[in-house]
Amino acid sequence: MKIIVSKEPNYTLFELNGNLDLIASEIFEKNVEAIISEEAVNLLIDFTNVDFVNSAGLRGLFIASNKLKLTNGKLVIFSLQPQVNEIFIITGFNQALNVLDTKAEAIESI
Amino acid sequence: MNNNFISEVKNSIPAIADCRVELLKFGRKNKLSKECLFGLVLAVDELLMNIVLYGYKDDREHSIFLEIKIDGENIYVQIVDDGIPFNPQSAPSPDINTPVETRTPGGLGIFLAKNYVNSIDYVFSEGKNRLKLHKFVC
Repeated sequence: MKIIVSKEPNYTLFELNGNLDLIASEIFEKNVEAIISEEAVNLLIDFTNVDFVNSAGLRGLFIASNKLKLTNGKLVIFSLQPQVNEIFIITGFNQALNVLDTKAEAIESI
Repeated sequence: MNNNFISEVKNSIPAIADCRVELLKFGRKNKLSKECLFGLVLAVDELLMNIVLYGYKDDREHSIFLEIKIDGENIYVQIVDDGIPFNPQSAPSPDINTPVETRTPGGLGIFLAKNYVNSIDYVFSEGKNRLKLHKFVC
């Protein structure tokens, strides 16, 4: 898992590349801790290049979302591949997390 | 024997990630659709992860035997491990209709695995957990 981090005035963008599994989820959570400590609030996550997500990856996202809520922030995920999107729907995580189609919609939502 | 996949997976999370890569290659070689292969890989991944994280009470190295066979319209998977007896069929499923926030943690991986295969059979014999999965080629 490679994460490209870019900072914008109203949000931080993570571009995830690879598989969001248990190992990646730990890397992801560390990156989230880092931006929270820098007082960033909103996190947008680009899923375009995420080919695979498992239950550990879903949990990592949920934990990150809850941490951001504590600082009145928001976690928004966008551009999910069809199979990845299906996992969110099957497990109900599409209700627990903000999942949108495009980056434009994600920016609009914060 | 191109349509058989046999692997001995060590009880570590990186070993599961390596196995996933090999399984993807195998699936592509056998012309499984992206959707079908995704489901197969996810189900195997979740079941292996469950064994590695919860199946062993010691710190020793263990081997999990994985065998996959594609036979026409059928995919057969066997997973054999020497961990503590655990029947995924008896694992409580998360209540998918309640919000994630209020659910009891656990069971999500097994739930996903069940969702992506057509059947799961479990027996414990000769000191080993033996899982048999069946998935139709889709």
